[in-house]
Amino acid sequence: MVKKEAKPNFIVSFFLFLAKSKRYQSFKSAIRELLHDPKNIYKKNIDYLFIFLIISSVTVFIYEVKNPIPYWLEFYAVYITTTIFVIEYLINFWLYNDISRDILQEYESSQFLNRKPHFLKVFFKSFNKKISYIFTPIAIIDLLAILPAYRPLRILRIFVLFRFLKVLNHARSLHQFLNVLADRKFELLTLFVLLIFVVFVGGLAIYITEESANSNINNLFDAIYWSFITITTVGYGDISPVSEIGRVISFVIVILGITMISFATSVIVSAFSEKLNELKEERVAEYISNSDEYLIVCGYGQITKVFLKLLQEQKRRYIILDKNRERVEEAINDGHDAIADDASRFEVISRLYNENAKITLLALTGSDIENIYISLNAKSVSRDITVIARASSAKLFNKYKRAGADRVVLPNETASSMMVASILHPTMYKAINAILNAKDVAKIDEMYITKETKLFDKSVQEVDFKRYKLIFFGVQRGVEGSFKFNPGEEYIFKERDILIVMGHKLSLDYFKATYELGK
Amino acid sequence: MNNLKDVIVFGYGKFGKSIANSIKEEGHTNLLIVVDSEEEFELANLDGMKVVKFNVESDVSIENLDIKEGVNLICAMDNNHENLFLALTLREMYRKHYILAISDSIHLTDKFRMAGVSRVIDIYSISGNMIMNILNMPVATKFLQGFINKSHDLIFEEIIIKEGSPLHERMLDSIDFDKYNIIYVGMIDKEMGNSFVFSTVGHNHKIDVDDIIVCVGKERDLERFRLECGGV
Repeated sequence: MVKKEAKPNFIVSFFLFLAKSKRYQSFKSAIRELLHDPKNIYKKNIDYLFIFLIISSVTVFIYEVKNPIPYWLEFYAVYITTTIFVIEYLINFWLYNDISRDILQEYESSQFLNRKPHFLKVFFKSFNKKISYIFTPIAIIDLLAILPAYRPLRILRIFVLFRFLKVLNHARSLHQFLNVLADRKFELLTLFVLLIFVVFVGGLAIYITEESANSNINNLFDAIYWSFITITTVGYGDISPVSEIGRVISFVIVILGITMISFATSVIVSAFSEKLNELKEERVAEYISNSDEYLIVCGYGQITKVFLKLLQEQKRRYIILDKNRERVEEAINDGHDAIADDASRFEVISRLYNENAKITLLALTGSDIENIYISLNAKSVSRDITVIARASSAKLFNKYKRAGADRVVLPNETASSMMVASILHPTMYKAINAILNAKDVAKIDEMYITKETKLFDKSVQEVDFKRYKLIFFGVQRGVEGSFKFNPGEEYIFKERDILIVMGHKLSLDYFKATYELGK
Repeated sequence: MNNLKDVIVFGYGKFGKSIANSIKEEGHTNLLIVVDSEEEFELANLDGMKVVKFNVESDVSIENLDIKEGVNLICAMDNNHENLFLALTLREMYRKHYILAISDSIHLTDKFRMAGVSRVIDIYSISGNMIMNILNMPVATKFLQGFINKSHDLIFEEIIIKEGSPLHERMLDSIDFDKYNIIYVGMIDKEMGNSFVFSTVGHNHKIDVDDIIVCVGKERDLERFRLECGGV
C-alpha cells in the first residue's frame, strides 16, 4: 500500500495555525490570568467590578417589583449588565480548554508515529470537554444569572437569586467556604441521604397511622412535609399528630433529627477549624509576597526572637516559617505573621516567592541539617534570594557556602571571640560595642558608588570627609571584593566601590544628600 | 604588647571548648581549664590544655584553685544552673575579679547580672544583632566583624599621652594621622566613666597629659605612632 501523507484540510490547518500562533496563545493566557490568577494585580479590580454589577442590578430588580423605574435604569440592569455577563460566560467557555492544542498534539503524534491522524475523533473529544463546561456548577450559576434579563417570562425573575450566587465566583471568602464544604462532601452527602430516608420513612409512618384520623393530613406530601418540619426541629405546628402512635413517631423523628443536625453541624465546624489555619496562612502568604521587599524567617527560636525585637523598629515586612505548630502559635501570640510549614519544601518557598521583590531568607532553625537544606532549597527556587544562615560550628562554614548561603552566622564562635576580645583587647571590644550601640552619635554606614552618584570619579581629597565630620575607614571593591583601608588622598572612587564611613547621623544624612547617595 | 593575661575557663563543653580554643589561638595568655567531669577533663587533656578538676558545690575546691588577683574568670559550664551557681560563688569569694559568663537566653542573662557578673555574653542576642546589622549594612558589618574574628589585620588601639609627648598641648585637628596610615576614632573620657567620645561629635580638643586617644590601623603602624607620639 502506498503511504499517504495526511493533508490537513482547511479547518484543521486553521486550528493548527491557532495552536502555533504565539500571539493567540499569549493573548489567551493573558486573558486567563486576568480572570483567574489570584496573583494578577488587576483581577481584584475586575472582581470588584463584577460584584458591583451584580449587587446594583439585583437591587434594581428588587426595587422594580413594587415601583416603576426610569428607562435608563432598566436598560442598565437588563441590557448592560447582562451583556457583560454573557461576554464573561463566553470567554470562560473559550478559556475552559484548548481545542486547537489538542488537534496540534494529534497532528504531531500522527506525524511522529507515521499514522493517519484522527482529527474528527480528537475534535469531538475536545469539543465534548468544552461542552462539559456548561455543566460545571460555576457555569450553571453564571447561566442562570443571565436569565432574569429575559422580560416576557416573569417566572424567570426568581433567577435574580442566582445572580446573587454569581457573587460566589468573584468573592474569594465565599469561594473558600464552598471549598471547605466540598472537602466534606462524603460526610455531608451521607447525612443528607440519611435525612431523606428518615423524613420519608417518618412521613410514610404518619401517613399510614393518621391519614384517616387527622384532618390536616390529606395526602402523602402533607405527611412528608410534617416529617421534614419536625425532624428539622422547626415545628410550625400547622400539622400535628393526634393519635398516640403518631406522637411516638414524633419522639423518634425529633431524636433522630437532633442527632443528625448536631452531627452535620460538627462535621462543618470541624472542617472549618481544620481549614481555618490553612486559609489564614494563604492570605498571609499572599499579602507578604505582594510587597517589594520582605524577609522569610525560618525557625522561631531564641535568635529569631531577639532579631524580631530589633526588627520592630524598622518597617520591614517579614513572615515566619516553622515546622512546629506550637512554635508557630507562640509566634502568632507574640504578634507576628507565621505559617506552620516546612521551609525545606520547594512549594513552600516558591509560594512565597515573587520575582520582582527583594527577598532575604534567614535560616535560623536549631539544626544544621535543616538550615543547609533550607538554604539550598531557597537557592533552587531562585538565585536572587539572599540567604543568611546560622551554623552551629565554624567547621560547617564551607558546607553552608556550598549550599549557597550568602552569609553565615556563627553564634557560638561569635560569642567566644567576643568574650576573648573583651579580655584580651578591651579597647577594641569597647570601641566596637560603642559603635554598635552609639545610636545617632557614631553610626557606621556604607555607601554604594554607581555612575549616577556624584562621588563617581572623585578623589578622596576632593570629597574631604573631615569637612563633614565623617570618619572614612576605607573602601571595598564590590560586595565580595577586598577591603582597602584608609586609601589615601589620591584614591579615585570607581563604580561598584562601597565606602565605609562613620559619623553622626546628621552628618551622614547631609553627606548622602549632597552626593545624592541612595541605598 | 599585652602582658601575659591569666584566664581561667570553667567548663569544657560546647561553650567552654570554643572559648578556650579562641583564647589559645590568640596567645599571650596563661590559660587554665577547670572542669567538673571526667569526660571534659579527658577532652581538654587531649586538646593539650592545662586542666584541673573541681567540684562546683564545694567552696573548698574553688579555694584550692588558688585564684590570684587580676585573673579573668569565665563561667562557661554546660549546665545553666551550675554555671549560675558558679558565677555567684566566684563573685562572693572574689569581689574585684573580672568575671564573664556565657548565657543562652534573655532570662539567664538577667540572672547573671543579678549575680554580679562583670560581663554577660548572650549568644543569641549577639547573633540576633548581627543578623540585623547584616541586613542593614552587609559590608560595614563584615568590616566590624573583622576586628573580632581577625579576618583583616586592623585593630583598635588606645594610646595614652604621657609627659614629653610631641602631641602635648596640640590641637587634635593639627595632627597628621595619615602619615602613620592610621585613623583617629575618638577619645576615652576618664571623667565620664571610661566612656567613648567619638571624633565624629566634632569637638576640637587640645591634647593633655593622660588623655587616651583611640586609633584604628595596622598593629605595626599603631606601634610606630605610639613610639613617636606617645611620650615617655
